[in-house]
Amino acid sequence: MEIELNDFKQSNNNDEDERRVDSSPGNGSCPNTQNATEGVPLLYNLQDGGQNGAHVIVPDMPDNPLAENTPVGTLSRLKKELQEEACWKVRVWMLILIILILIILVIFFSVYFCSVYQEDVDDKYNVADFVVPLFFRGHFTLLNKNLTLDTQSQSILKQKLTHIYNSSYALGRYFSLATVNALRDSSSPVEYELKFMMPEEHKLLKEFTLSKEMVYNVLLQQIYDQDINEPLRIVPTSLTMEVGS
Amino acid sequence: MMFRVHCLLTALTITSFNICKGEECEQITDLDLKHSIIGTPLTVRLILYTRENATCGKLLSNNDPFATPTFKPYRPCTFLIHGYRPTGSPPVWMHTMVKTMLNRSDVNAIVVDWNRGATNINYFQVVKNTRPVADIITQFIQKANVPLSSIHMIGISLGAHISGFTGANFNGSIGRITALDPAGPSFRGNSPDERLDPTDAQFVDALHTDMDAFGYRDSLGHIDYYANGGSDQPGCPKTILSGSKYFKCDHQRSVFLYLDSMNDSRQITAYPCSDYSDFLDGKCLNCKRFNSSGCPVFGYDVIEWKEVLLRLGQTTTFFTTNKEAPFCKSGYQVEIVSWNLEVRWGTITITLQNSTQEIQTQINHKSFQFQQFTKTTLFAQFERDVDSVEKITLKYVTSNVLTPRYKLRILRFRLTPLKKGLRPMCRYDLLLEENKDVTFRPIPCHHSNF
Repeated sequence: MEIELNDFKQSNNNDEDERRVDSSPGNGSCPNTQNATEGVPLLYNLQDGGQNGAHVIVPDMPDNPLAENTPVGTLSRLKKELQEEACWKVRVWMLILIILILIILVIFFSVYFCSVYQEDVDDKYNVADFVVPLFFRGHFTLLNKNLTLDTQSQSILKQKLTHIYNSSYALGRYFSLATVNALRDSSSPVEYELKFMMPEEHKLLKEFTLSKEMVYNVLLQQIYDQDINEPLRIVPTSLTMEVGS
Repeated sequence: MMFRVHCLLTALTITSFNICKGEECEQITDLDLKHSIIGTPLTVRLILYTRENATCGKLLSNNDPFATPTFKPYRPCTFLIHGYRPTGSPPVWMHTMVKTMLNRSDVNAIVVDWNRGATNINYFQVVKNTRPVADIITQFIQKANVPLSSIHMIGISLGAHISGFTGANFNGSIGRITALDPAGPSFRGNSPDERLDPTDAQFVDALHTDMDAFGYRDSLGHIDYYANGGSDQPGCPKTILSGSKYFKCDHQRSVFLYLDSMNDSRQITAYPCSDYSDFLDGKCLNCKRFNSSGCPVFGYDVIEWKEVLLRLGQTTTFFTTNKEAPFCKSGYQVEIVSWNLEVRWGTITITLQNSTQEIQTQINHKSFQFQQFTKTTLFAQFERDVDSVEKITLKYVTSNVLTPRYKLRILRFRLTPLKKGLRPMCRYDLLLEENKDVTFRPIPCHHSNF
């Protein structure tokens, strides 16, 4: 009996804070408990009743009054707290979820936009830095031998060359000018000249990007790709190119 | 009249009975799991197939080979020796192998049926039977008195070591031993006289398809082929959920690869290399050491490379295959020179197209480095050939997540077919945006400066 009394006292002391929390309205207080009023903790009443010998009817109370201190008790209280309305009809758990989703979205979008809109270093260049000229010269023949190369045709061919090199991924930024010489007679090949501008430091550039192989083949593959019905169709095998000075 | 008819019918019945009796065909011993559990004593039967009796095997006596009329000593002898038979069933591929063999050459195809002896749940007992089998074959060869150099032994798994022991009995004078995934368990780490080795025949070629389980890992021939790296074969199950196929698929693939190699149009080129990953990276496509004949083919016709291979000692080669017949792949060397300021990493997917065909391959066994103005070499292998490629589609893929969509800026893309007589194809100035297809028409490659 003495042992039981000691146990009871001990639990009473340890649960002082817990009881205060429980006493708050709508926070797990038992409406069916007789003699229990708002602001008076249920366990406290029970203990008082026990100590004074008063008969207290607690129909919803568990057999063990210490049940609220067990994990199950804490969990059910937490559930009830989460179910509370925080503002308007939004419950606490909804609010927590919304905040979590917002945090994740902010992280995701910031990483995504930072990565997608990162500037490509290969697209950064300043044309003003390209000051050293490099020339390529050569000739080609047109498939239509009967065509007279008038000023208009000459201009179309020039535009064609300009378009090919301007739209080149590797050569476009270095390309400066294309010229197509006037035809001496209808049977002779069409002469052309290409001008590129390089930066001061251009050793590797000249060896690879602006090599004769690159400049020649960029033009050649476009000639191969040209439309069959194009009036100024160039014969692919007739294309020649030399590096000028 | 009735009597005559009766006599005629009787005579016909007797004659047809004799024909049937004369046409009695020997089959490989068919056993079952029960025999495997209780074990079987060794019995060796030599069954002869020739072009005269291509579908009807005749039993050969190891003491008197000439008792079988279709055995002709002037024909080269090819022995087919099976391996361990845990279920007792005859090998499913044996008849196809004999038929294909006889289609290719006029030989005495001799099936060594040691199913009684190979069928035993106790593998180690079966291993013990290999030497007695070799001794019986040796006895037969001695009695047959055929030129040793004309003998070709094709041994599968344990059969490969039986071939080796037989060859050793003749001090390596036998013409050729072909080992199809030579058995590994009980032979790994053995000295050369306790397993197949290059001194067992004038020429030994070995194929490895399951070296991490039932096969043998190290090289043991004048030429060793490691198909798909020598361990896991494409199309074979990766988990035990597929049942017995999980155990035998890789090992058995060696036979089907060899069978396919007998078809002239399905030749597989094998590339000498020290390492499979180097081979996949396209670092071993140089065949200069074989002079004008080029890299050796895999299988039946490798004998044409015998002289150069003997001169080279032992050669380790690799090739990759499709998951089913035709197993041969179509190989291309890929060269990419890029101009990105920063190093790019990734894999490449290539699609070849003509008016009727389209074939794709992913070169993704690892992530490749693309460095500015540096040639990156890749090895592309397609399931089949595409004649006169009209269009090529490239795709640059990186496994990066939440990073910018990288662009691979290519100066020159070159695709060189490994098949002789085909010209390389080029394209210049390409921009491959990550995970986007870029299709172009290839142009002939000209002299390159870089």
